[in-house]
Amino acid sequence: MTMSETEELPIDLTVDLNSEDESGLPWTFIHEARDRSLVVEGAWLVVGEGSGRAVAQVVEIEGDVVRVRPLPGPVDRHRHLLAPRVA
Amino acid sequence: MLAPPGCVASHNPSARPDIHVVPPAYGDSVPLEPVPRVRLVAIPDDAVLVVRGDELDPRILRADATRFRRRFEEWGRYGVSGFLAANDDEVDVLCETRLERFADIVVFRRADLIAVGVEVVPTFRRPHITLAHPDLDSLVNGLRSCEHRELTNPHFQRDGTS
Repeated sequence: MTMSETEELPIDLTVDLNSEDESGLPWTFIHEARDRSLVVEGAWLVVGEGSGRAVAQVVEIEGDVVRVRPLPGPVDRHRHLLAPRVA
Repeated sequence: MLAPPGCVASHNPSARPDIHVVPPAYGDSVPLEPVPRVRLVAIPDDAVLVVRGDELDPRILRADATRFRRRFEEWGRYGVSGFLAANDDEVDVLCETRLERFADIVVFRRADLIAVGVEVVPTFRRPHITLAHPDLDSLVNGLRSCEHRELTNPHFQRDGTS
């Protein structure tokens, strides 16, 4: 069943959206993904934790570190960028 | 590393002479470093506030601090990210920019954090800071016990409102 437009999308990758590293981007480890196969460079994912969520693009994967570039605004605004979700 | 939207990834000027070529350093991968970059310029005296997105959920603080410790193991501290501000106007700017994805934020006085034993270290790019301590429990308990304000982010947009 495809998730409806009104359902909250699950977080694909746990990222502290306060964080940054030497790249200036938020980062996390790849094992924080709910499905590692989703995490490839260029992919659009729902990232965050707690109340902070965003759609972000995977910019770089180096070793087990993943850097992402979040888009401004709510997740809904960028839903079209996300791959179809299966509940 | 992906080039930002609108940029040309190629460094070959002959490929598209009509388009500005991105300098080689731009868009190149930034190597991982074993310790966080600490800015050489000390925190300005007027940066009296520290802001962090989200509530002080101990589970999240512990997870973030542990992730930081693992990433920057040689530094020997647990850490969580935050941002400096001089006053409430700058807090509002942070709410509209770096913290716009958080419904709630917390605001500490920097002096109060130092008083409870939490280091405030100017790391990476201004106004980012790392709240650090060698001991995980001391960091999490210090942050939660430190006097702070919990504010609703006036610039946060909920899903379904755009």
